[in-house]
Amino acid sequence: MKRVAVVGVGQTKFVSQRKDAIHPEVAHEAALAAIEDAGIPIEEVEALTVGTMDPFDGIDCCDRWFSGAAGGFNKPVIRLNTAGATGMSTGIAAYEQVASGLFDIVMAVGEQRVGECHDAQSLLNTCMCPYHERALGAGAVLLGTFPATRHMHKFGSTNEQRALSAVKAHQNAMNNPHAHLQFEVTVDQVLNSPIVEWPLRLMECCPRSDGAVGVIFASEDVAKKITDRPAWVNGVSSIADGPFFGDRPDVSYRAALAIAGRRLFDKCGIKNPLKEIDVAELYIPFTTMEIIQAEALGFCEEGQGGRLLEEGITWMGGEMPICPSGGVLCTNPIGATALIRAAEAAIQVMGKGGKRQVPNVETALASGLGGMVQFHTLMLFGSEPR
Amino acid sequence: MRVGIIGVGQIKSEECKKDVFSDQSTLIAKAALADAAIEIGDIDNVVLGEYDLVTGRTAAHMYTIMGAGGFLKDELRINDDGLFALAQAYAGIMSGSFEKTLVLSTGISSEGPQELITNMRLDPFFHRHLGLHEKMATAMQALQYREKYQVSEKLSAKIAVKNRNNAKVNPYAHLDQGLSIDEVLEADFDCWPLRITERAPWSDGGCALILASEAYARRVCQNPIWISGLGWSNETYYMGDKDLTQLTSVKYAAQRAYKMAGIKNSATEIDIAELFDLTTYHEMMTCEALGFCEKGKGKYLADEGFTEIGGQLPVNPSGGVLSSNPMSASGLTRLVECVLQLQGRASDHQVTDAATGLAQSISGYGAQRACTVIVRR
Repeated sequence: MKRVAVVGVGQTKFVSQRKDAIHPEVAHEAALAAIEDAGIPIEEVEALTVGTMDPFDGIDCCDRWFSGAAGGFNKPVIRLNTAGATGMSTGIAAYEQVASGLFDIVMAVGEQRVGECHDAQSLLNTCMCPYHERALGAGAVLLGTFPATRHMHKFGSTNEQRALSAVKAHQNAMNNPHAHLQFEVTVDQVLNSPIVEWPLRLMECCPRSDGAVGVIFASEDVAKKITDRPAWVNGVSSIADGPFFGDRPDVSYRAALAIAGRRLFDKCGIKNPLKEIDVAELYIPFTTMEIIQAEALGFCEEGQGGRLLEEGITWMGGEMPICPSGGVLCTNPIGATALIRAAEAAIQVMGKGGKRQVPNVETALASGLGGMVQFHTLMLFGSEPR
Repeated sequence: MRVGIIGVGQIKSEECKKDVFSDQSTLIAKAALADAAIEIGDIDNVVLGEYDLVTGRTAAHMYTIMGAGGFLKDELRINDDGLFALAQAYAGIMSGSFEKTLVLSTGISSEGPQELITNMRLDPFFHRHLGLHEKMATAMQALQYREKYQVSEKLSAKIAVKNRNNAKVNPYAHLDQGLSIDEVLEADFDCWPLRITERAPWSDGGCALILASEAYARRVCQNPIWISGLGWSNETYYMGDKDLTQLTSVKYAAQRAYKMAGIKNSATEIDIAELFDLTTYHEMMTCEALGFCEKGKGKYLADEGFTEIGGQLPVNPSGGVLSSNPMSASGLTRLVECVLQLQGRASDHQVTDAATGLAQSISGYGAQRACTVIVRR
């Protein structure tokens, strides 16, 4: 068992639709940026893990098309797909392959072009059980609305609190050159934007993006040679909940994420996450999720997630900024998204965040989420190995 | 440290399973757990190997992960053949993250039109409009090999007969009625130059293995099978860019696996091989890429009895993919069969005294990806 660190990260600029490039070119861009960031030639990357979710791109198993261009020609390549959590599963797989001693350097590449898809929501509807839930016509937005109304009913959270999450995300995205949506919004603008699915409004929902990300994982000795300040992978965790929304207590997904979080924090010796973690890149495609995830991960008491936003604790300059990159609310190339969370958390630890850098980051948390909020993945990075 | 296989489970491959697809995962997981004599609560990680779209939906693992008993457990899902999932599960245990992992693959080909689905795997600019699908691509490989090495129809038929007759005594095989040379040669063409008897069917089926760390495997299992080598590789996507008869991915995957297992001469050191014989010609090509014989000599192996049960190196004593092809579980099934052989539990298709087994999987157009696993007693 070897210690593992992230030594390089590369991202494309994310946009609604890349009309100028085909899949292999987009993946190539991110992979090239990652090896340039690490300062190593592609020959030193021994294996790849690739992630993308079918079939948003209008092509099935599109990793087969782009894996060569991402540097995987005549190399070991394994393809991951765990729905929305795909990206981080790709990172976890790369981490395991290095930690196992099979390889010294493995690159995780996530690529997705939701812009190629006519209607992502009707496509997502096909993931639901054809006997029980599919006919309801639900898509992904349901993941934001059901828990939102439940949270409002049970804890009295407000539309204004959720709107703050969108305002913060858009403000942060202005500092991230890779972010897709780059404009600021006010609480009033959020609350006056059209309703997508009540109570969620347009500004509270993620966009659909095209783009790719590459993250290079290296074993301890190799990592130290490549960089003085790698981001050590100090813990990973994933969990599967049940597929049926109605089977979960509270129609929220707090329970499974809380279990995964507790497992990770126990493993890493973290007692008070809010104090001990400096920055978090959470998977927040809908504003509701910021509130619920903060509670599930123990950043605050149950029902108090909105307060973190109101008091500025999770804003830039606060005690624990959440999503300095602007997060999923501003950029969502689905199969790559969760790997972007890991990449951004690693960037914060490596001190490469530029205008979005949080000062003195020693510990950073990243999360991923997939299925009908069924799969959760977590990765904890540190400036020192555990 | 080593990783041991402490239990395997399969369901019978059939043309069409009547139950809900995720129920099959439950049956498979239960069979593997019963075989290992442990309970689902003992498992700490589930790794699935399966494609989306095969079952007509996206994120199909939302249901199969539950069927596999993954509730509140760590999970990963490899969107490729199940043997790649096994490779990832091996890494998970070697990394120290897990002690006991269930690797499971369900292949329910009857849920959708596989020709259309595999056509969707082609890029929309250069290949898709040709109307190609994977079956057709295997026929192109077969044709190129046949022309290049002058393979007679009869030599091809002998492989079909060998594998389909082996399947007669495999209780999990799909096409288990056996075949004669005449029946092969009189069958209709499916995709020229392949007759329907020379290529794999589409099946519904699946299998699972339970992997454990060395310490745990020794504690709970009397005869664990050890993973002693594995390798996987990816070559070019475009079929026009390569010699379709060479199976470069298989060659590189095998090289890595052989190096890890310390195998110098695969033809003599391996006792039983389960290969991904999508067509009879794929068995010949794979044998060559694995170094069992020289280039172009793969056609003689079945003819000389080298690859029969009782031969020097039995290939596909289970009947292989030519007999059962549950899309995405076919490669993992190869390993399950190797384990049964090494443990002496392969019923009437048992090979005598097998100590080293090789399982081979290929996926994608023109065998773009391959995974090789070597197991020992």
